[in-house]
Amino acid sequence: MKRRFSIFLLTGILLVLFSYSQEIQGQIVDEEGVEVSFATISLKGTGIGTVADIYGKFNLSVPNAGIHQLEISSSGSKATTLEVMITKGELLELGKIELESSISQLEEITVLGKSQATVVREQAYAVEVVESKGFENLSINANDILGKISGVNIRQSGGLGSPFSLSLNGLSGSQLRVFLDGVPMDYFGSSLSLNNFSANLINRIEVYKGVVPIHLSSDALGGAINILTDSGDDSYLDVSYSVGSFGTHIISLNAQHRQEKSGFAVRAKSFYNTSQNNYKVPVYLVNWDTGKEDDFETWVERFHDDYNSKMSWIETGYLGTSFADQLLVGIMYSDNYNAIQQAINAIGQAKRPYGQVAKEEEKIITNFSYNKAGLLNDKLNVSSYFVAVFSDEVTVDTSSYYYNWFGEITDTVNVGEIENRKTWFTSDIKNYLGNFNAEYALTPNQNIAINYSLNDYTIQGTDPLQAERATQFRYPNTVKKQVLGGAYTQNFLEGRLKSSVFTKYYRYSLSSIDTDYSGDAEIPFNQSHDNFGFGFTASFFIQKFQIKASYENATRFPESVELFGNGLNVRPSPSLLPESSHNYNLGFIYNSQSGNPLFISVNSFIRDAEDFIIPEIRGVYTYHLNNQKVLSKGIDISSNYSFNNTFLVTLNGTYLDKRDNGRWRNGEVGVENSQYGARTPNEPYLFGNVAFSYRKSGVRSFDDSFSLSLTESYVHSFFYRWENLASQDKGIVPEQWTTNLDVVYSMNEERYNFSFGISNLWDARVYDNFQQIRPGRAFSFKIRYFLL
Amino acid sequence: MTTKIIRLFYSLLLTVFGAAMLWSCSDDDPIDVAAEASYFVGIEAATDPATDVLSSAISVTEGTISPVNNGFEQPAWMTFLQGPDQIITAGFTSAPEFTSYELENGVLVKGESFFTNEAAFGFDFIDESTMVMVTSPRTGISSKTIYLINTDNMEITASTETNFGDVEEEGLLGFPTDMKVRDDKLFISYYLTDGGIIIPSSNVARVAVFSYPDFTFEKVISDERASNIGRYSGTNALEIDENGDIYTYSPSSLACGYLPTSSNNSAILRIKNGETQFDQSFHIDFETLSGGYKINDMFYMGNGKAVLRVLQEDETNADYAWATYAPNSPLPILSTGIIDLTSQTFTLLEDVPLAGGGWNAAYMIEDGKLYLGVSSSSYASIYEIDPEAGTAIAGATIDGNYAKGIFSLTE
Repeated sequence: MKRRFSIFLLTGILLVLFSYSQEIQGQIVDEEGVEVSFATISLKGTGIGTVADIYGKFNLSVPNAGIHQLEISSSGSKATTLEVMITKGELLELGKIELESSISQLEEITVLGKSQATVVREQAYAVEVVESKGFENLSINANDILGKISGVNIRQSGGLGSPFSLSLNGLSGSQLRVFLDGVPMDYFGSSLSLNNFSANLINRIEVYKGVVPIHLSSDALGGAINILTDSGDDSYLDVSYSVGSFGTHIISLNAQHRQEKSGFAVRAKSFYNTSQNNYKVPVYLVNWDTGKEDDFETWVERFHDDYNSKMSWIETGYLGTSFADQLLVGIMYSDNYNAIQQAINAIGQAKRPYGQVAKEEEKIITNFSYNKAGLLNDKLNVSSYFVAVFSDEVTVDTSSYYYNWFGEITDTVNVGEIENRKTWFTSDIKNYLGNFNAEYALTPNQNIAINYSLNDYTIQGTDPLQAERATQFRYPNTVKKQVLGGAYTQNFLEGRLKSSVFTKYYRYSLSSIDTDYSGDAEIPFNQSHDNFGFGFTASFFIQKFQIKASYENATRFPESVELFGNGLNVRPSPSLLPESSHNYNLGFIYNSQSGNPLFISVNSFIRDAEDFIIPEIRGVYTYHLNNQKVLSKGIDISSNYSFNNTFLVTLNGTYLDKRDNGRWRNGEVGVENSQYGARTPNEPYLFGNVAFSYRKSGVRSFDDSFSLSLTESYVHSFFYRWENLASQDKGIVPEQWTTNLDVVYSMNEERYNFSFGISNLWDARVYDNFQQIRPGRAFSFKIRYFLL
Repeated sequence: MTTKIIRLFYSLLLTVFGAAMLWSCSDDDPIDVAAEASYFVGIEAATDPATDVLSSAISVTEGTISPVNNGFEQPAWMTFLQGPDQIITAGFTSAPEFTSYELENGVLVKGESFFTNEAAFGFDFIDESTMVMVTSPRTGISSKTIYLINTDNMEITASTETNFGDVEEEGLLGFPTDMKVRDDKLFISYYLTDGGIIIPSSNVARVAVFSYPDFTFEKVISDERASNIGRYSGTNALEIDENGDIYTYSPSSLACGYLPTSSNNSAILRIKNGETQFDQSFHIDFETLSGGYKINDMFYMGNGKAVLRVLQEDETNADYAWATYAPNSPLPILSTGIIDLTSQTFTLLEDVPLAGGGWNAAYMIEDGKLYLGVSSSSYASIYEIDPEAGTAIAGATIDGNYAKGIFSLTE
């Protein structure tokens, strides 16, 4: 029998907001997986210890962070020592610790256990990790969590479910790639998106800035965001209901059951979101007979902005067995309905609101995933997935009327509200995604990894209300992206110096059918590109400091609509090149291990990008061209300081210096571009947030806790258009301050949780987009039941 | 109180944070050309995001006209119009705003504005206080509206819904290209479109005739010697000479977005003063006259002379579709020339470089000379064209993508 024990890392749980002391959790089991009751767990040489409960579970508070020897002993079992690294303020979840039932001498075996978040954060990548612990009792979604991360800026046009744009260190939109458990969400659409994904479903979010590891495989120009929902091997039930202002109700139900012996597991994750979004906005009403606008504001309720979305995802298979750490098949259904109040690109409140325009989406996703670590004598880890996505997206604009801001019909026009003709446009999307990843340890200090991914996407459009030939995507449009990546990682100086080099080979092919200008002939249209990318990362530990450097030559391929057009007004631009960028990061982390813990992370970055794809309009046609060079430099800071294990202050901030780097207008040498060196417009460049938290345990009973946090967010004002053009009537998005207050009370070791939140406490007029006012003060109340 | 402390604290942090940055922006001092200016130029100053600026200029014949720290930022992609004593900017959006700019003590100031439901595609200034215009959907069948505007206080005086030209059973919209008031008649040229891309039935020139000022529809006049009059979003399809005769041009070109292209040649027709019919005695087959050129713009200058912008194309090559709406094209196709409508002769002006075109042409007529915006991917400037002398010389350079409107104002 091999004398070793296995550790199943459960959900690594890091306290971000409410982390005050270090704790170790785990469960002692025997070789058969049966709980070992009343084992003794102690920190060697400290006199600190505890006794596991009847189920073998234990929870040990550790006063000082650092490396400790954890001794575990139980009568009838072999005593064991674990070496654990305890990070300040974090919960170290050791999962199941197997004790061998023999009567031998004490074995000294070294396992360096770290929370998942610490492991990720200590990678040499410029990466930020936020665990949902601490957020899951609040009425928030993935965007709200992401928005607190330094370097990330999220701009929403309205309330729940409204369109948003995400930017990271100056690159944005499709230049960033979002992943769900490592699966690219490029074509997942709106029903499964950052703005409706409840915090309860999320285990943690990783944000890779500019340099992206090969296992997150896509053409990410500016970085990647990976949302991880993995909830470990334990059985649990997590149910929550939240009610808030503007008719908002959010229900979430997550559960997992696993048979201890066989490892057979069933997992369900689901949410339902609904909101009226009927917050009030100020408008200058127009008298359409005279054309004159009021010279005073009228506050009106948004009357056609309701949103609802639901998702249900069931997976079944095996967790934590000898043949697979995870082998799951699943099926997910999601849909949403989004009433559109006004044109998305409207400046401020549109003069003409929409009264009937809506978007709907329905989606079925099936997934298969397998991963297994520790093959071939602990040298090989493999993981793989296959995902198929089938979705229908519908844009409905069949109104026969014009509406005013009071929701009243003012005219009968019979042509819809968006573009003067009725639309019932359905796009049928099929998206197949596959990935295989393997990591092999050549020596204890060297490993190699390869990753292959395929992303195959087909869209076809139909519209019963419009002539067949004038429908977008009337012929199927297919995009196939393949990325092959390889990485080599080496550790030096007992692991204090880590370095990694990687390369990515991208292959991109598109096919469609274009029509000639008369609309009669069908012309097959095929295009393929391939590209190499490469990068490196390096990290060096000196006591409490870590220095990190990374670089990637990154690529984004044109989207199909940019290259192929939409078969309507957006015309093919076959000569488009991929966007490319040289991304550099240099950062350091200070992590004090003693006293009142202090964590500071500073990352400076450069994104030297060119061949940005921008639209050019000719007549009623839109073409795309590569014509913009942009140089972004900046710095992100994130820090937290806690004292007395009771108070916590966190501070995150970003300064972005993003400038037009194209010396010549239209890319032709000779004509000076007068915006050369000017700050790019409509982009927040100084923003951050500070949070003060207070937490007290044992308020009314020994196993309850109370916490209060106040978060203040700031965005410096910025120009809507170029700063150096024009001198009068310049559009400005003003400076803004928003304050959020959250109170949480938990009972029975966080089994019952109650939270109350106020967002935009001072009812400030806040804008993400030029003159588009966001919701004012809003209240929410949430109840959550969590049973582990 | 707490908030104040928090804000103070955080402001301090941010100040330190911001000050730590080595990169800082240096703003150039604003150049005060506004005080001396008598010319104004609407400039598309940047592409992404498109930024239009109404800038001041001391001269249109020399130097550089720059929107950098000069002029009024526009709220959207605009159409710029010259009125007798004002400049009007019109949004190219749904529910657009029309804003007046006027001279006040020698300085351009922003004045009153009004809104309409849809973008306007035809305008005519009647006098210092009156403008007519027509708004239209771009696709689909719904009413167009003809407006009478008081340009002093920028208010709609009257409006009439109309569906002239629409062929509902075929789903075709009559889309306006220009309008002119002559005495008690309003003439609106238009083409038929099925959704913005396909222009069927293009072998006919059509003008709708209304009474003025009550906008009662009277009739449609048509002529099969030419093709659709004017072009999408152009504003010079109907030109009136000293005798009150209206001249029209028909592009017959793919480059002007006519798909399929008319089999009739690009041509000039005339509606004589007092008539509401095309003059059957007048027809210039411009393609034959010029040796293969088609008309994109026509500016009537006086004495029977007009400046034309013209192009040659391969009608079977889809790359020519909308080719004259590419002001920063690396392959500009527009030439400039002078036509004598009386003697029916046409001369190309070799001194004006090829231009990429645009939507409504940027031009100004002063002292019998035409100041015309000319641009491509490698330059943007104004040319001074003297139709009597038959000469053209380069004028001011535009620091921007291209000039969208060139204006002169006096108080």
